Amino acid sequence: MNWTMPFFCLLFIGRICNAATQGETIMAEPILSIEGVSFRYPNQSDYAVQNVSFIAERGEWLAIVGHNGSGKSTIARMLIGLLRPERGAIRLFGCLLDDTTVWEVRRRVGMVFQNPDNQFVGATVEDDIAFALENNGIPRAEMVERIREAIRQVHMEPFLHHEPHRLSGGQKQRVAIAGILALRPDMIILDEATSMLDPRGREEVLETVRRLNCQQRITVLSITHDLEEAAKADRIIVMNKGEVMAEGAPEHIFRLGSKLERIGLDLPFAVKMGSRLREQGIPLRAGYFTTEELVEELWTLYSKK
Amino acid sequence: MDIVFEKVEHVYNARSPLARRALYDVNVAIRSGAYVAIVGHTGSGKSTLLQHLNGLLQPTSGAVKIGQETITSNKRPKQLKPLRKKVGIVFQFPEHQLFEETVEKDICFGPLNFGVPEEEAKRKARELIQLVGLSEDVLTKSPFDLSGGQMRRVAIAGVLALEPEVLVLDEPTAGLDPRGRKEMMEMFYRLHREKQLTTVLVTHSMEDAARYADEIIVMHEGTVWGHGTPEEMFRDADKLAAIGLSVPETVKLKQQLEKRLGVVIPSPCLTLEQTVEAIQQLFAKVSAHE
Repeated sequence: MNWTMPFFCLLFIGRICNAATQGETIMAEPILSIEGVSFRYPNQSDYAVQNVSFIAERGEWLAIVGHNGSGKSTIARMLIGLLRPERGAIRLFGCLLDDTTVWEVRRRVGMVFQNPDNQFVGATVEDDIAFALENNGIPRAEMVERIREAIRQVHMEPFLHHEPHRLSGGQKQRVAIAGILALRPDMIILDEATSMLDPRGREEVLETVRRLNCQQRITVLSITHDLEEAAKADRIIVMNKGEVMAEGAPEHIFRLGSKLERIGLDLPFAVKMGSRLREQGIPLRAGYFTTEELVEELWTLYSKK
Repeated sequence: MDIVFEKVEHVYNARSPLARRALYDVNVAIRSGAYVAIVGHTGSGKSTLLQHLNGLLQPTSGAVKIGQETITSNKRPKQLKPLRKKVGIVFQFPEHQLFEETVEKDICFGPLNFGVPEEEAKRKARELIQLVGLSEDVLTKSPFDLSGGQMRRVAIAGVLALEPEVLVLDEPTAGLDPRGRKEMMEMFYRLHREKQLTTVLVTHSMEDAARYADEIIVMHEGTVWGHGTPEEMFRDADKLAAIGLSVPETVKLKQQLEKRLGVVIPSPCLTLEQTVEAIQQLFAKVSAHE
């Protein structure tokens, strides 16, 4: 019976998934579900990922956070079939990820990697975006149309004929995102995609992702050790030593406070400041806030005195 | 070793149609023993400036004085060898420069090239591996079997092996997680004090510049935009914002609080600790009035 399942998927993946993309509620399933997944690198006795389960809903921005070596990038690589789990199952768009479905998954899930310099093949921005379209056999007329649309979505129209390696880091990552958008993906995975950028580049990329997530309801999975970035997500999964340590909305996760610092993460500034001030006896309420909110809280306390 | 830039200009591909001026009219002094941060937006000339510190680039006009040496456009590269030993540069992602079979060989490579006897180079390697926070048994391993953070420490030990007087760090924590970043920055600060180094840190992190540097040099569009203590440089957030830079989060909080509460906070609030203390004092004062 086992062999029929992937075969079934192969036959029907197109139909089921297309229906789901159009936002119909035929499939009540989440866009991504991971069930009891474990993974070990060759010749290693310790598990890099151990018994991890979580789901992502369609249109959600999910952040996976953890220090270097916590297993978060290993998960990303399993999601697009670059690594294969030792145990457990990964389901994307309602189908089990295996040898028969991996190509379809890769067409629908785009991944932006950490180093902006390692992911260009084209001599111009336009060629680079066209590369994946050519590989997928998109007719030329449609290709031109899709490239135009993709470059517009990342606000890089003036750079269409520029050489990718002459762009800034943030611009390079936006071109990488355009390359993915041209394939009309259902999900974008950012694997530490902003960690090598300067503050402005980082803001550019996150702003682009936020727009795509809000306006086009593209599901975003961002893998990061930057909790300021994770604060923008709908939900956060905290990884530690290959296991899920906590899961919840940002304001819920940030209540863990020093527990997050102990596993090598850095709390967003206002959260950290708030908890230090509370420790010093200034009666601020607990929770997540921005610097602006912190100033308001302090003002309220100050004027009550 | 004092470092002085006098009217330094650097034009890439000079005298060709592709000529591009990356630096102009740079006049700046870095005094011996100082910890100086260089900040600036991408493309502001930071990296070009940095490569002048050990003669990897020579000014197309003007002069760079490093200790007794003066580098001008007509200095022969061969004469720069002693300088390369005195100024150690840790480039971005230094772990990409590792190449030897063992960690020990990699650390010894520089000293051996400068004619240090093998026994002494090996002794040096044992001392340095501990100084960068790794244990001695790492020495016999292949550098490529280490984690990213460990590889970076080995590469830094290789730079320190030449016993530089000036240590130049180009975004040394890029790609590390928050804990790794903090450990690395604390290590450089310890080296700075213990070895009495002149440290030049190129960074995007205003927090690191505020916490560690005695002075900050702000680069903008190829020249020095400002130079002063962190307190002086971060005084005007709007002016910095106009050139695409920000002040540290702590300074932002201080300035917003001063405005909202209508008070003056005397502390520069350069670190989290300073800021907590300043706010505490603010509240203590109010309580005392009651």
